[in-house]
Amino acid sequence: MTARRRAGPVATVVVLLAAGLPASVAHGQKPSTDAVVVNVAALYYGVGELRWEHRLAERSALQASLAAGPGSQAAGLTDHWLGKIGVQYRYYFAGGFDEGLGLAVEVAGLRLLADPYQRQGLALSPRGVYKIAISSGATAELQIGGALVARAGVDASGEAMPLRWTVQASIAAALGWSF
Amino acid sequence: MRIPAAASVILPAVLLMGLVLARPASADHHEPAAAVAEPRQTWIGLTAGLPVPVGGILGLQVHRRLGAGDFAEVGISSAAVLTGAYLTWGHRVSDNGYTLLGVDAELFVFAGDDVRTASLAGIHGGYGWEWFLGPTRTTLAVCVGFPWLGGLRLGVAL
Repeated sequence: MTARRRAGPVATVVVLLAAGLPASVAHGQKPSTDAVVVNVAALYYGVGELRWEHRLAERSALQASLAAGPGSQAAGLTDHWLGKIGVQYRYYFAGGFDEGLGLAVEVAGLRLLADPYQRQGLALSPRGVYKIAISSGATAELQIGGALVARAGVDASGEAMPLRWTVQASIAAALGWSF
Repeated sequence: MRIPAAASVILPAVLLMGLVLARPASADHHEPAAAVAEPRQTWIGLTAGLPVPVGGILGLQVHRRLGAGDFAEVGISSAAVLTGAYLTWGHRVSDNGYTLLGVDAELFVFAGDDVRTASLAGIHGGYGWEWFLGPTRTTLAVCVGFPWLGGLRLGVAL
């Protein structure tokens, strides 16, 4: 069980690293303006997450994210339905849109349904970002940071639960396409 | 998977020996390492942390040049109860020296009657040195982390 818990995120990062190996980055070509990626790290938690990034300027971009899923037994999330919608601003301080290292801030709304109770929350997440898009358009990115999460909801008896704050790590390893 | 205790001692010793052997070669050239010949873009290698800078004792790291003296390092590392991933920005400031600053995320797994996990994010920074032994890039970095203590990070990459 322990090994299984640890193998998931490690495997996703290894996949990401492997995807970043090709040297033929899309430098010198017409730069991409958009990238669509799937967060493979979220799949470990039984959640599908799609992220769409749009370039605003040479070094800045917005990324919208939408996630939903039933949770996974491996991650200890069963009998749940998770949903998330978020928007992220990022600035590439080294490199650029097709390959760069940047800082990002993401704001996301969270929804957790686990009959009979439900919770909703808001997360503020500063992150470091590395993204690489090779000449074929294949794209890999890694986001690592923390998240300040405020959550409240209704418990099983229908009573309102008090607002709670938590701080946690946040990681996204995503594969997709730039165009 | 548990890491044999001997590996955490032997590997750093081997890496240190490599660093010592690489020292004369780096003294021969006076240009920044990035400017010597056509620089490689990607290096992949192993790291060893003492005691556990950014995530663990042993790790796998990809080093990627971003031009103008900047580079990115993406890595995963692990100790017995701690697995971490990190993203580091490096910037060359001298012949073989560079500053580094990054973010990391760690997953703790407490094994026992009831397996418990916890995750936490951190930041790290420091200063590193790199030497080239033919096709091999060896590095030694001093890391200071928050909330983690940091330490030395040794690396060998091809």
